[in-house]
Amino acid sequence: MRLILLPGVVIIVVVVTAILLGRTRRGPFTADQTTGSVRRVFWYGLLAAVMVMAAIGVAGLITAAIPTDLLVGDGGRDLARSLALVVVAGPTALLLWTAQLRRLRGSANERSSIGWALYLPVMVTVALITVVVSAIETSIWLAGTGDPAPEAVGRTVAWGALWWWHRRVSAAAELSPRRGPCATVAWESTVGLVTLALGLGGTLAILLDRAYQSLFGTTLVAEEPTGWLAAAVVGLAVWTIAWLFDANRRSPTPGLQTHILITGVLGGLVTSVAAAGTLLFLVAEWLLGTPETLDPVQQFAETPGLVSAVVIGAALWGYHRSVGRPAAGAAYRYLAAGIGLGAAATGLALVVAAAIGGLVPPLAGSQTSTDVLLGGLTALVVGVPVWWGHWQMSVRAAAAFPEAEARSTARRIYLIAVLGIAGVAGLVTAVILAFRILEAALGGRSLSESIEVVAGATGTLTAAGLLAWYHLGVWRSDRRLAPDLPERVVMVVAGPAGVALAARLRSDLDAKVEVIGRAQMGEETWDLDKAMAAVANADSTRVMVVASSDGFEVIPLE
Amino acid sequence: MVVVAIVGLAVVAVALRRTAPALDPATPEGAVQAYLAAAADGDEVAAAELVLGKPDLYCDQTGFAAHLIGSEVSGDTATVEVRLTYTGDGPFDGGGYGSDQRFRLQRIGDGWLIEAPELAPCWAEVP
Repeated sequence: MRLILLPGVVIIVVVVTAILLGRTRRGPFTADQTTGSVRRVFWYGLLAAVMVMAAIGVAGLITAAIPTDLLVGDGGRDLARSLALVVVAGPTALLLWTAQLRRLRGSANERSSIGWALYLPVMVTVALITVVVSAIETSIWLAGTGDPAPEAVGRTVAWGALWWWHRRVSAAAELSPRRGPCATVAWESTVGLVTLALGLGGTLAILLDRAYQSLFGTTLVAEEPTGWLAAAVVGLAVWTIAWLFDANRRSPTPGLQTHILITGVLGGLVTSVAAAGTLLFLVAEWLLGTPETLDPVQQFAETPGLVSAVVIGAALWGYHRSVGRPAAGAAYRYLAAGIGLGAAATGLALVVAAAIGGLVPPLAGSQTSTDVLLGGLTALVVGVPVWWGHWQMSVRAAAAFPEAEARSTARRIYLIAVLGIAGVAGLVTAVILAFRILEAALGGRSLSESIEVVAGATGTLTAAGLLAWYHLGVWRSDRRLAPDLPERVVMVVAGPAGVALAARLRSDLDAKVEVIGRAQMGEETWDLDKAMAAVANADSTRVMVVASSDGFEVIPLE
Repeated sequence: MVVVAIVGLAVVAVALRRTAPALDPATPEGAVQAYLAAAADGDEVAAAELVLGKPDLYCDQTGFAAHLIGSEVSGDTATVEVRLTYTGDGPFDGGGYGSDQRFRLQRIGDGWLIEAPELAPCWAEVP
């Protein structure tokens, strides 16, 4: 297990966190914003660089202090590098860190800056992944089943300290970033959960594999579950610290909901559905199709791994469904329905393709249309219940609260995504199909020669068309129920009470709100409900609310 | 606190700076150690003396450390497993990359000689 994936992880953490941060509103505009952003790019870049260098240096020193069976060389060069990094980057890191803490305590701008909001989750995630991988390597070594890994011990301790230090800062009430306060703990939970799921899945797969082999009397290479077991233990520890004792006790923010939905629900459901579909296909292929092998033990050799994936995926899904549903009801329903719909649509496309392919007997090749048909049917069998169950929940929700459901962002995103994907798929396959038909008509290859392509394209076109037809109807009826409201833009100039007004405007009127804090504001006595009513009944959808100590004024804007 | 801990760690690391103990060259591990030491010095002739058949050796990688992972003797043959860690020249050239190497040896007279083709970090041209 190596850390070569870290650069990719850094990019993912930055992009996803930045997207979620973009959803949170900015604080008041200040004059030093431009120079401030340039300064922060360098400041946080430098801070991250010295932290990483110091951690590498300390890890090297710890590694050097662990005795090993040295044959040749004296490690002098490694020691020199570690010392150089510690001597130069260590004090610099402490110096910059002290300045950073002073700045955070002194200025509200720094805490609401995007630099701080990105630095913490990136640093914590990188450190945590390094700790997790190194701790697993260390455990394998200490369990006596792997090669000596003194450098893994050094990395575990040094990066572990860096992780713990940053996580305490991100949890401190007076230092944590104002934008995306839960981003750090959401990423930690994701790292812990993925490690735990992989570890448990791997261990379970090996245990089931042993049972399978002893049952059917084949002994292939017996893999030791030590590594997977170590991953499960390390993952459980991280997940317990980050999720059970921390994130799970916070009120759900967009960052935490993204973790619940993407890692828990999407990850678990996709794993389960894909593995269950494969399992079902193996059975169907054995009973009705043309399997590649005549040995049943070989045909079902993947069963332990697939069963383990179904179990672990279902556990992830089940747990996060119960956690995530109250907070993210609509998002959960439509995400799960989308996963089921994807599998069902693939199944439908394959069934149609098999039906058309079966019209012309193949000249050669082992993949008969029976196998394609079985693949399509199994995808339908696992996909349709998942889609139907979750779609029915939304149908019931739409019956109970028609307008609210039709306006739900999750529903709109779901419909747009389904229509978009169906549209693109339909367009591409229509071109392919038209090309083949015209080619045959103009005297080129006959249609039966390219029957596989024609059958596949027709299947996809049918599925895409059916999806588009059904969801276009839903989209149209939604639009009739809840036509687009004109976008409301409100600028609030007020004292501290302006923030409360902004929150009401956003939630009740779905308005875009900009708040500008008013200096030298006395006690605010104006009524929030009256202000809401005045904005809602204003002549223009673009208004400015200016509050003073004795009242407020609503000014229509162009 | 942190500063004291890190300074203490640095002192311990420097104090514990290891030198490889000289193994008995009449053992398989000793033969491998002598071979790797010659390779680390770039002494191709001395290294070739420890290889069965004394082939023409090329040893151009000298910046490495070697750790013993394990060894096994059965009769007149032995295997010695070693991890070679190559270290970059500058401070930013990375913390080195490792590769595991399994030497096979034969007992010749009182000592042991390494068998081709596993000769890293050196290599021999195939005759």
